[in-house]
Amino acid sequence: MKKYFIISVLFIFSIACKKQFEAPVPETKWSAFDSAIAVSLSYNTRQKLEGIYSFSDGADGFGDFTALKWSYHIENADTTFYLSMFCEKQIAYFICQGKRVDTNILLNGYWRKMTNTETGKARFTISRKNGAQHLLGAGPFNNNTDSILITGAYGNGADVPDQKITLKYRRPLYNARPIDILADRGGGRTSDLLPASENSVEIIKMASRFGGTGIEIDIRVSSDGVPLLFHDLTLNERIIRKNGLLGPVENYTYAQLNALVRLEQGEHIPSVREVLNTVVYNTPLNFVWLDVKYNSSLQALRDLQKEFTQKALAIGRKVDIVIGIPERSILNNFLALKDYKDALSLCEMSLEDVRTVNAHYWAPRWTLGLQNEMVDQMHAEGRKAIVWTLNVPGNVLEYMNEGRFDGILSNYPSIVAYYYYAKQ
Amino acid sequence: MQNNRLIHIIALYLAFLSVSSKSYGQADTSSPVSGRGKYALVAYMGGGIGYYAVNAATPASVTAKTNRLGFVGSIRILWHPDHLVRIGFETGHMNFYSYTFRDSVGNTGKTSVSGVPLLLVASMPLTKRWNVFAGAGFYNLTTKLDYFGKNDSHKLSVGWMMAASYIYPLSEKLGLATELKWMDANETVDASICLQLQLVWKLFTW
Repeated sequence: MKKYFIISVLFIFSIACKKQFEAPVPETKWSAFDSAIAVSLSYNTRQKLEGIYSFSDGADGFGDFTALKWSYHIENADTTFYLSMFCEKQIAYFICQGKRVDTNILLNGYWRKMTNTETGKARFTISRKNGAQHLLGAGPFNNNTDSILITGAYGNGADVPDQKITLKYRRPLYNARPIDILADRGGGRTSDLLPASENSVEIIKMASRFGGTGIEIDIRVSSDGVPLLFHDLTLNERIIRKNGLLGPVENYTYAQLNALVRLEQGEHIPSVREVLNTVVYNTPLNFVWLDVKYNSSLQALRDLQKEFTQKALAIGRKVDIVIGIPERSILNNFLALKDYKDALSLCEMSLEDVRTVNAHYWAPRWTLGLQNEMVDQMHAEGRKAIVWTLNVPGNVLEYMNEGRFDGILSNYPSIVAYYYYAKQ
Repeated sequence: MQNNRLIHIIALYLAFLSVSSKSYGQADTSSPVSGRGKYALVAYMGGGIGYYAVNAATPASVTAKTNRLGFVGSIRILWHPDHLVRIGFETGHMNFYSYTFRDSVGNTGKTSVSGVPLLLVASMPLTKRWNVFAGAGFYNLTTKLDYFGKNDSHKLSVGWMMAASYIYPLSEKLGLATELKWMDANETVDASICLQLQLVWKLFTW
């Protein structure tokens, strides 16, 4: 009986040990930053602050350089600007907001490392003598005579920042050959412990802060024909909170899913309409890859593509909304569209298939190699090429420097952004 | 993490079987070998009640009333050889949990989760009347939803079970058993502890 008892105890221990990983965004209250005399930074100041900076202090934690780049998010009539600092080491980034207090500039936010769960608060100051005078002035920034020194600190978790960081301006961001930096699943995977769930409206609002200039989203369709965002074949606890609903999302109406299913961070499953509305009116994102994962008519998706491309143009924005074609059955559904030749599309299959559907983009998986000759063929035909899904920093660097792709899809857009903007 | 848990379960299950085999070996060394003994095919048929013993989660967006109790019925066919370990197959039907709910505008609905286990089972007697069982395989799970229309949706989940039973013999071929059982659809994190009354019937011997 003794051995059965031991087995039972071991068994209970084995099923009880489940470690919970989390990386919550810390509370970022800072009295100086939140004071009544703190005012928003002007467009001119924000633009002059962008660039490549070197770490004088803090290199141990974040690497030698960082790329500072602004993004924004519009909610109703309010626009919030975010300064992202993309770092190489451990795929780290800072996300801050900026304000002017008297003759100083304050940056307040948090940092995160994507290779682990480390996160914490970050606070920076640019004093008048360290460059704020130039930045807050009306004149242009002179790279040769002006300098910017950002001093500050970061902390771990909810701790008050006490570890010194000093950043020195080195050069402007690279932008000679533009590329699309595409954030997978709307901004990143739920498993990477981001502040919002994958394929949610909330993560899409954050995508540009993570470095994305565009997004890839996974499209399925409800039983009543509403295109929606969901990656996996079935409802499961990797993506959603447990609720008793099982099986494919295609088995439920959108009303049922919208009322009863909540994603891991509490968001509802968004419809494609809701997401495209967000992209066009609330974000600076200029590329949406609709990664089709259902095998039925694409007409509803095509109608949404046309509607929101027009809506973007009506407000002076060019947003490329492309229908993804990953396999034969979806290619056939795409060819069944009356105006398929006019529909902006992205084909993951052979070059011949790309030509058959007149796809504007060819998107091979990265494991097939750089394929520079084939990329050149696509360019010669007036098409573009995007590679997916590059997550390892070394691979991103290789494809950035040796490849000729026009875009890179990644679950870590911040590392793609770093390698891109840091190019010389 | 789910995979690690499953690996643990499989490892322990194999450990259980290895201990069982050892017991069989020990029994062999203490008894004279005299050819094979009788084989039997035995059916265990029963029903009872299950209590949903893990998080019976309901959507935060609705007001829900949960029922953790449900009917559990099972049928198990085991080959009883002339040594300790018996193997076979188990299936049946079990209601995991259900809830009725009211959404923010007053619409009502009902959700229930049930499953059909499809398990390979091993068993061994601890004493003359006490037996333990362990099984691994799949659960064919069904969600029934009644809210803005009725839906049935299915998912196959890997899972397992373990049980202990006391069998009281009624005759040479029949017995009455009480079984306490843990049924676990591991992949979807659905699990119930079940109490069943069973009829144990030796179908035939050879």
